[in-house]
Amino acid sequence: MDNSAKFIGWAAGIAVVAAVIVFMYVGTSTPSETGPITIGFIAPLTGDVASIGSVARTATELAVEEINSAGGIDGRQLNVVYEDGQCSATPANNAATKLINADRVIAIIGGVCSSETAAFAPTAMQNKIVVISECSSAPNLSKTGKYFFRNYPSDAYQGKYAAEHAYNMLGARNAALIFHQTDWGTGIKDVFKQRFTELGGNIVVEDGSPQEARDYRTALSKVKVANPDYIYAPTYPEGGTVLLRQIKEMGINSKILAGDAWSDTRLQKDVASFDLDILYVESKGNVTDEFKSKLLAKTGGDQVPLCAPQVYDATYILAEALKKAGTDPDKLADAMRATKYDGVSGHIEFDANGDMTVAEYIVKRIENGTAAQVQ
Amino acid sequence: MEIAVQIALNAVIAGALYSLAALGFNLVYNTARFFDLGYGAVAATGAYAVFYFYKTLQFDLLSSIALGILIAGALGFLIEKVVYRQLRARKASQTVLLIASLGVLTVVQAIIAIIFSSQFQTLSRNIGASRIYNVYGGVMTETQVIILCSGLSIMTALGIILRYTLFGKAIKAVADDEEVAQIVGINSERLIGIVFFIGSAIGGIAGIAVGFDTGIQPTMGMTLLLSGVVAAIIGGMGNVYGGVIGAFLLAAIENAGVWYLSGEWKAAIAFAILILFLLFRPQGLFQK
Repeated sequence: MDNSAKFIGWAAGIAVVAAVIVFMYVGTSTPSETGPITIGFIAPLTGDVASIGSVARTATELAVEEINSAGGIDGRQLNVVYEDGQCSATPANNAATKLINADRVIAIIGGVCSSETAAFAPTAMQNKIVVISECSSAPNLSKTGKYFFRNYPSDAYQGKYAAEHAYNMLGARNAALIFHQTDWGTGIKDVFKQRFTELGGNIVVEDGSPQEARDYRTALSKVKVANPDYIYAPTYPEGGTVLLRQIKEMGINSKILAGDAWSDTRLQKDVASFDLDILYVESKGNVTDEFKSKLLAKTGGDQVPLCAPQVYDATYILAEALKKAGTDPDKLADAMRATKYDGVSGHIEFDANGDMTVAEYIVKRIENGTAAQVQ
Repeated sequence: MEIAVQIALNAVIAGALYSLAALGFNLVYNTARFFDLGYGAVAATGAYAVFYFYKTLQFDLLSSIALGILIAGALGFLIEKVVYRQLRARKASQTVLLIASLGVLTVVQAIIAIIFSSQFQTLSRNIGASRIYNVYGGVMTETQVIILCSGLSIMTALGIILRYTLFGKAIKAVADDEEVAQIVGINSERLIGIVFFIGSAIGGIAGIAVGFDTGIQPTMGMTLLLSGVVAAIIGGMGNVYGGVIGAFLLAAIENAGVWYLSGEWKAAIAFAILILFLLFRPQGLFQK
């Protein structure tokens, strides 16, 4: 009894202190009409696809520097608060709550993973925060809300393209589907399966696992016996690396086709010694040499990964809309929807759902620790 | 035929990993009498210690592994001394100890993530280059063969120690009744410390084995812990041999389930079995 009273006393004390801290924090960051405009950024800076997320951060910094040195938004500087969404729902949601409530952002760039975006976008919509995702492609994000945009095509396009490419160009007639059960993985797998069977192809194995699964051996045992022409594997890079390793270890001869997540440079390096035939589909971007050299000068890497051109464009699109409409959420969303922008990732226009109106893809081959476009 | 062999092999490998996890967990539970969730963190620490020595500092393989096991054991011992012993001295209930151990798990995981990032990383240096064995149409990697052999030898060694040495008998005495054991002159606090060291070292081995087989990430301990706990409950809590049998049984059912259904079902199958056991045979296959 005594202990529980003590506990309640402590809990109450901590709650009061926390409340005071939050109020002080919120109190100091109320936006003014002349100060900097604060926007949020959410991407996986650690964990799955961190190599894509951290370059996305660099590309955003690059765009913001350029915008600010060119005078900012009508003289107001653009200020970005970067948060780690860890390619997963809960951390992304926590990050968004912090950005919205504590940093008082007026817009959020991100997330990269569809599971991040799906988790935090509803909260953002309720708070009338404009969200522009540079890389989330799950089909079910299309109906998110009035303030949601993405300058990355929905997987409704990617899954269809992958199925057609596999059937028509690669001559695949039998395919195994090994996918991650996430908004992205399941979404893209469904579209692939539908289109591939429509064309006359056969799905011989269909096996999903959680994103954090690291043992694909039993699923692969089934693949080995079915011996399909291709394994279509829309998986995230960390699990994907293990998957490829186990494909190699089990001596499976099927070729592999994957989704855009495998543009992760870390995966490409880690699987260099496996000697497997690996292709993946990626959104086509006409990345200019100028952008490439600017970005690589900052990252020190040798490749422009997926999402970097897109997030650079997203930052500019948002800045343009802010210049036109100011920070009022409804006006800002209207200005975003009216966007016609030719950026480093291609031409960008949004439909009523905030989706891209066009989508083009390319196929790349992973070889010798890097990826090159297949002609 | 070929697929049956491969599934059986997969089950054996998974079973070896689960049984290592269950062994250490059971040993600790047997003597300290509470659900030590911090065990998962200790296992992850062992794997990360090997990662640090082997991949960052480029030590040779054997000394890295030895250091990893030692550090896992030492951490378990330390946590026992600093946290659990203090609580036990205050006659804290099992629930309080359980919650404290959840705290330990969370804190250690967070520290690992801060030092090494939450990125998934591989332990082996030469992935894809290791030897692969063909067993009746199925395949096993060199790493897996080593895991299986070392797992079996640790189980045997532990079995012998518990049954035939004075130390093993003392553990049994403390497990049966701590007060009586103290009356006959067993220093139970010291003994529990040693048990934590050994149990955590075995946990470390489990973590290291997973690290070499697939890879490491800070939350790996939780997954390992859960399979260990389920295996221990199936086999009979606190029964060291039961845990091993439970582990292989769990692995076999999981893999057969994934074969007939699909990968989505793995966790659901494991926990459905757990619930069935709790409902209909709470004492497990083998009573203590």
